[in-house]
Amino acid sequence: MPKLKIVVDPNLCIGAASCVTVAGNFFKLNDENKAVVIDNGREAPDTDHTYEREVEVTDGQKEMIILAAQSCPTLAIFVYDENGTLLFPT
Amino acid sequence: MKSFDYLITGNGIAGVTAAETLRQKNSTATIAIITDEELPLYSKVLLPNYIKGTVPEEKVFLRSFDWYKKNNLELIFDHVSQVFPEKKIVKLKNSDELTYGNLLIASGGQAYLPNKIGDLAGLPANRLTTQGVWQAGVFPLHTFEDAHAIKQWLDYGVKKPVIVGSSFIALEFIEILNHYKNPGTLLLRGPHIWPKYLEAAAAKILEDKIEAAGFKIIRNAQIKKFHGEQKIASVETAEGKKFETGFVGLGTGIAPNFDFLPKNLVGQGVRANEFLEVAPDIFTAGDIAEFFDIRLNRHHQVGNWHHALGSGKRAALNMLGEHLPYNEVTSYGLTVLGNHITFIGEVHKSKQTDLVSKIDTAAGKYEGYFIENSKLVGAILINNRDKRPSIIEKIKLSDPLQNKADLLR
Repeated sequence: MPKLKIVVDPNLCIGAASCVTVAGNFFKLNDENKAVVIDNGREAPDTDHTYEREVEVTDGQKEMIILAAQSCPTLAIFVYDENGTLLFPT
Repeated sequence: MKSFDYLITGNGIAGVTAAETLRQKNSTATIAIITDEELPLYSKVLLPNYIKGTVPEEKVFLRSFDWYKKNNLELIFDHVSQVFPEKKIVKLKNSDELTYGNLLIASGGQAYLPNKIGDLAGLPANRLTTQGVWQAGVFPLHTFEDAHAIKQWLDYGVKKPVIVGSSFIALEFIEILNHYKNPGTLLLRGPHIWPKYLEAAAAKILEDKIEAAGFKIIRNAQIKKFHGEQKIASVETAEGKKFETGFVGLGTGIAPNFDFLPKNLVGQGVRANEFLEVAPDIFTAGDIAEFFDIRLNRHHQVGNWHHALGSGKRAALNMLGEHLPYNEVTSYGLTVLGNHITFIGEVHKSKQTDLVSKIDTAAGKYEGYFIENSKLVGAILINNRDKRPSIIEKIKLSDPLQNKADLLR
């Protein structure tokens, strides 16, 4: 399964949370109302501060994550493939 | 007469997403976007942060002029004055005429400015120009240029600011003025904020915080007149109260940009079916689209970024020959003085709506569920973000609710 690195820039994130609507298994809002990255619905001890995470995804999930990044009104989400190539925003 | 395979009115996220989608699927089609703002796509959502100085100007722009060139998307800086659907002609204000294969109406709206500007000289009675009101110290917050002007005034310093309005823009002004440590007066036309969406008790959660931050809230305040010579000096209400001010933030709504269309194609917005089709070879997307929603079984408009992007994409794909309904469940969230509010799905209170809600005043939490024809169609959450994923799923599934009270468990 492909791996992606998902990064949220908290300075750009305004908590619009369309990413949560589009790909709720990979994004949630933390206590500061900023989007953080979760791993396919699995909680992690440091979830509230995880603005960057590597995840293993199916092709369908990859598409959802890129859609989520596209849906962000502030382009705060950056998606990289396992080689470090920026997939979005291009 | 210049001719385009795809012509798009509006350079916002709906129009640009549509253009991008068209280009991805068709590398040789001629595509043009007509816009009256000589700027590349920018994020309206980031304008308050730009004003506050928390996001630099370059981050507000989501595309560059180079991006348009690289994707062979022609930008035409002008206004549309008339569309002739039977001839497939678009006439511009400069009198040029363009023909199209397919037309997308994604022209959004412009800030409605009150037509009672009082004694301020040089301003026409109706639909005032933005430049006129900026000079007077009266500001809508709809465009990058509005935001730029507001930032200059607030950085310089203003006295006794007044905000007119009760919805999203008014609350953005609250956030902005709070950042500048310059709370002012909020003049609400109705009894509370967000009257189209929120119950009074839910609005109170936010209004208590607004007042605690030093703002004064005046309810049921109809604006009668703006007073001043050249610059704003006071705002007078129909109740005869006058509020001295050196700055007015206007959140008084958006007038749709569709006067160039034949009247039979418009209602509250540009009328479309579930495929976002308006007429043969004419589609619509974004805020201006009054589309038939197959989940609600009626027409409605949606004014959030997520919808603009999704409808822009769907309209483009349908213009390319797909024939799928647009039925995305969209949402928007914002933070007002540390309180997070989420709007999911259809949240306008209407005659068809049954509202089920729960409030925890002490904790400052609210959850309101909008039900039509026994199905969950929307929700508003205040400080309740964990509920979001399950609500979105329920709305998408559109299953009839067995017991509305279960939503509150």
